[in-house]
Amino acid sequence: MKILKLEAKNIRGIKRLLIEPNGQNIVIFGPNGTGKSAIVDAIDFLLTGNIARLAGEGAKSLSLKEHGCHVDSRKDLKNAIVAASVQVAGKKLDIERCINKPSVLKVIPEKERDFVESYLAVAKLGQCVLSRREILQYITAEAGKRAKQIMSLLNLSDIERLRATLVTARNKADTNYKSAESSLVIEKTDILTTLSISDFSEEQILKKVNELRDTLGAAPVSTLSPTNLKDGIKIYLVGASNDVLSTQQIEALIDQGKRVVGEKDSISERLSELRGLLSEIQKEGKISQYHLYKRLFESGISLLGGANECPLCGRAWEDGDLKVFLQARSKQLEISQTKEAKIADISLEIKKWVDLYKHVLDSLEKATKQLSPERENSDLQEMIAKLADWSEAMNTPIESFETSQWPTIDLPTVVKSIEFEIKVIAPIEAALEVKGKLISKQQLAWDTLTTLEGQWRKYERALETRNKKALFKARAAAILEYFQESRDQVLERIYNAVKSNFDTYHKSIHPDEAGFTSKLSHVEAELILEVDFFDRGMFPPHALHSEGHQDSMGLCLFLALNKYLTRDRIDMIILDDVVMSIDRGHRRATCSMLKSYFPDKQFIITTHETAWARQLKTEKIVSQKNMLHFINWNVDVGPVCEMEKDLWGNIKDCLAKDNVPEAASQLRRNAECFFENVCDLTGASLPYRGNHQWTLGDFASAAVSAYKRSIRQAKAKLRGKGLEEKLKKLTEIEAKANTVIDKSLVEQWAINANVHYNKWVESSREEFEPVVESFKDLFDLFMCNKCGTTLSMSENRSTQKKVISCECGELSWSY
Amino acid sequence: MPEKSVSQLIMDDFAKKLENDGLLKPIAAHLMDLFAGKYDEASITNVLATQNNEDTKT
Repeated sequence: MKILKLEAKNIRGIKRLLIEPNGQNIVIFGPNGTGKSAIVDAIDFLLTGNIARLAGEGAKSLSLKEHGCHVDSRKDLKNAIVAASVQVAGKKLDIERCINKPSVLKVIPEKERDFVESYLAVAKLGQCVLSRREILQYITAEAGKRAKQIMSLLNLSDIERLRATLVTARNKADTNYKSAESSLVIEKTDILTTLSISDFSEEQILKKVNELRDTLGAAPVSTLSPTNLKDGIKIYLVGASNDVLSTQQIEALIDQGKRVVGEKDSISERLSELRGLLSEIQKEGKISQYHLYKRLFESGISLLGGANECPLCGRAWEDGDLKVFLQARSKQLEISQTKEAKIADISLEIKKWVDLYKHVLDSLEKATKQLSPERENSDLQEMIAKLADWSEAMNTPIESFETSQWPTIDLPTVVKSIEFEIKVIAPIEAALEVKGKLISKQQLAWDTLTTLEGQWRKYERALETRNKKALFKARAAAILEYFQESRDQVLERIYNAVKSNFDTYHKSIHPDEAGFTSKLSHVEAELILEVDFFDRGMFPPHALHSEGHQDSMGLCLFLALNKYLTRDRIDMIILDDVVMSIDRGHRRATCSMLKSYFPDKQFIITTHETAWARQLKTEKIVSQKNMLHFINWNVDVGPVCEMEKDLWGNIKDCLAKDNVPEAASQLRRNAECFFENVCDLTGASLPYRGNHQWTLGDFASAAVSAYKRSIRQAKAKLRGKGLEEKLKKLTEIEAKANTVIDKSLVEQWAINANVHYNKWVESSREEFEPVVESFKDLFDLFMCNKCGTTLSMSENRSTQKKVISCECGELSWSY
Repeated sequence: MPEKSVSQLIMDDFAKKLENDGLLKPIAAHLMDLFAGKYDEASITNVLATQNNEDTKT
């Protein structure tokens, strides 16, 4: 889709504006605040029904209906309209959109609506407009923000939302599994305690159960079930219920408590180990990156074969060094992944211990209340609460450690905070002593089997829950892994396509960076962009490159993404003041890049720099008639604009108003740009400057020297060859040139500060007019008055013959 | 634009991976239906839990 004609009425800063680019490139230039961006907004609104500038960060209080129209049209939204004649796939159509109904696009003829809408669906993704704001989001933003920006361009916000939800589901599954595993350990331990055995095996438990049954005169059972433990027992005794702890249970709990507390030193050591691993992981960065990098290094090793050249950046290595390097990096990552697995193991071990200890203390508290109802043990309750915090922290140790969810009181301190033997055990044992131990063997066996009935039911439930949670955990992890794998594989293909173009465009603007390469990779929710810095390695783009480089990188990345996404459906690209930091030389290269790689696109370029606008014309990106010069703006009429007059006409106007400083400023700016261009085209040599900053004096002197030298050498070649006519013509050109050059004093600028162009602004109108005249003549020397093009030099490399000529050949000499 | 959106390409690839995993095959279609509409962590958990109950019964 290209714009043939655009009319905006009452939109943003525009009252009424009509432009007719006729499908060609157009440049809108003028000082800040003259309404250039209002045109960008108008096109944005026409294509998408929205104005990007009124959305996003910092624009929450802005709305399309309140702020999309001209400030005086807020009560007349029906007349806030953007209309255009466009060319879509060879068809000429009219489209129109009104602020009053922004979602409705009028299409003439109406039958082409679906056709047009299918094209505009691409524009709605927002990839037609590049502004300075977007460049910052592409290049200098944090990886997470850049990912959001690019993903929004790729329309992937739903994908990111699904990923985040799957991560939450996986984390929840992990936590549930840990709790289920810990509960199962507690149930098993309770059974071991009740039966006073050390190993949890069905064989041992069955043996113990049959011993108890024998005491009660019953035959052995061959299977374990809460419903058959008392089968065939003839003696019925009244004793323990599930709610009341038997004496034997209490004694077993005391023993179990002592065993658990006896393990505290080993748990402290494990905790120190865990803390050490967590600190290392925190220093090394995010674990998630390891998985991706590991894949990268492994792929690198497999791609390498016997070569000694990096398959990514092409850098040559000493024999075998690259493979050794990649293997070392891969090994390093394996170590990090081992650490991650170790953290999971240790935290589960600590959690099981903490939960068991907490369970024992809970039960002992219950025993205390049962034996001495009047006794309160607040220390015990506080300790149980602190153990609960540790249990929680061990569910997600990495996150807890990183996000200050780590318990404030250290675990060994918690365990030490109560004297277990004195404050917990002693009172219970004393109470048991008082109640006596006059229980018969049969009563004890009956009580044990009764307790076991309840515990076995709990164990079976805990086992079933653990198995379910394990399956749940495996499924949730697999779903997330597959999803991320799919996303990464698809995006990797896109990024490869984008990366290749990005690198090509960048190298085209910066030919001195022939080895430039980039790397785009997705890690979790972040998009990492790294670029080569003069073969010294890969760095974030804003780490070492200049602002100008960053601007050109933003432009190249945008164009690469645009090319992939629009697939030529939208032939129009709007560049809204985006080359601010790029220097003149690289701007020329930028023009060449646009011409070479986007010859069929329609560029709508805004800039506040007249020199850049003129350069776009000189480089034939835009024709004179599509130079739209905004010279002023006021609220009543909007942008005050005119098609740019000839430079000499502008200067004449300034002088007519006695405005010598403005005339001098225009002449200097444009002359600097013009002569730099001439130097480039004719291969003129400039004096070396460490700061790479040259002035008009440097450019003009060098251009004139190159010009005169080429004529001298061309004449020397012609002499004695019977080409008198050509010699005569060249002599005439040389004589005229010498007069013009002498008049301009250009050769003296570099050595005589008194005639330097900086003094122009102090001149009177009468003094400055001859300067303008002499410069006009000087410009004309380098331009063909027939085809209007600037002279340029070409060289035959084999014969080393050089030719200076214009495009039509009217002016031409070789040397 | 490609024939399919980038999101669609990702989801198609994802669906294939779920179908090819024996553990997830029984719920693959259900999950993809869910992702095509409104979903949250609870609804995903619910699908997983339902299938877990089925599997642990058998």
